[in-house]
Amino acid sequence: MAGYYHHLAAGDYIPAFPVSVDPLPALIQRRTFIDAWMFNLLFSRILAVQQYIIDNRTNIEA
Amino acid sequence: MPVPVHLIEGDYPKEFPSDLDSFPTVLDNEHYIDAWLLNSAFSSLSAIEGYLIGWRGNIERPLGTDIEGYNGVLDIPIPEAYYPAGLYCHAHDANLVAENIKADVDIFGVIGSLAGGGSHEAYFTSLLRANDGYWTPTVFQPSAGYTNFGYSTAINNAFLLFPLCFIPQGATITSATLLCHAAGNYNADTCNAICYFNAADSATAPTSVATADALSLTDGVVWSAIPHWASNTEYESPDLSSALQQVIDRPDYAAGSSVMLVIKDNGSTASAFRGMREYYQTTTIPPRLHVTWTE
Repeated sequence: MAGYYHHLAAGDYIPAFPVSVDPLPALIQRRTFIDAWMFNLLFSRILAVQQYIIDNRTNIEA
Repeated sequence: MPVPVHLIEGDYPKEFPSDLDSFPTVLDNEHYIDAWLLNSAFSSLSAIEGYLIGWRGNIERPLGTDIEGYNGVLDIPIPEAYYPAGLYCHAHDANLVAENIKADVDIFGVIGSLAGGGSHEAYFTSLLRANDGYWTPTVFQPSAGYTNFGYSTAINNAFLLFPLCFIPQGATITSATLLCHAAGNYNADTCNAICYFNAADSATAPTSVATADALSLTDGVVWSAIPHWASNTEYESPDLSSALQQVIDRPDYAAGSSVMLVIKDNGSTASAFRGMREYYQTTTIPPRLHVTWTE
């Protein structure tokens, strides 16, 4: 079954937020390797959302 | 091949929304994929959702548009909304048209065309109880509840101060009369008086017999053989415009100043006096100075 596993390519997921929604990978059980870049991408996207909110806090909370 | 290590959750504190959360940089083959990595991401997502839900009312406010006030209403209510830059709030009044504004006067961009500035009418009252009263040769009475003139057991002279007179300097007074309500029944003859205005740029009420007697006065208007007065009936003085005109024509008089009417006895028979309700009388209205003028 291991022959079915493959790596997704980090370069296929170029961040676009806040101009647009970020493209994010869809993992498939027993088909997709869990690579470190997926965590890093997840973390960076969370940080991007947080940064956007912090930058616009004055407007949001006005 | 390096031996993987565990990243330490405590090295990556949560700071949102005051600041960014901290996350590790995960490297293939160097770091273990521990459960806390995903839990940390979920925790941060929850914090973001909680923040957005908390401010949902603001975020989802309707988009505001230009606002039109009601005709002639000064205060314009602003509905709850998000207003981007570049919008306007308009106050308007259907009477703000050229023909209602003095010629060549610009009010909010409307240039007036009214020749001569038109005629005006106003009623002035004394506003404070101490602003009207009377005095005899020995007694000063600013707050009796009535103001007398004529001759009771002594000469009675009255003063009535009208603050905030907004007639412009130099305006032409076309009529000016005192309207007052009788404080009682006055049936004695013969009551004679002379009406003056205080010849001052902005009058102040006297505070004693001496200051009342020392008032500088305009020319007087005779008010002779005054008919009997019935309690709480309204009476009107003769036209006082010639005397008031002398105040309005003073070079240093300005709109917003006070003017003061002074009514002095003019040889009335004993007991022949008239009394008017003062300002703050609860049963009737106070004395009023009714003026019409042109500018």
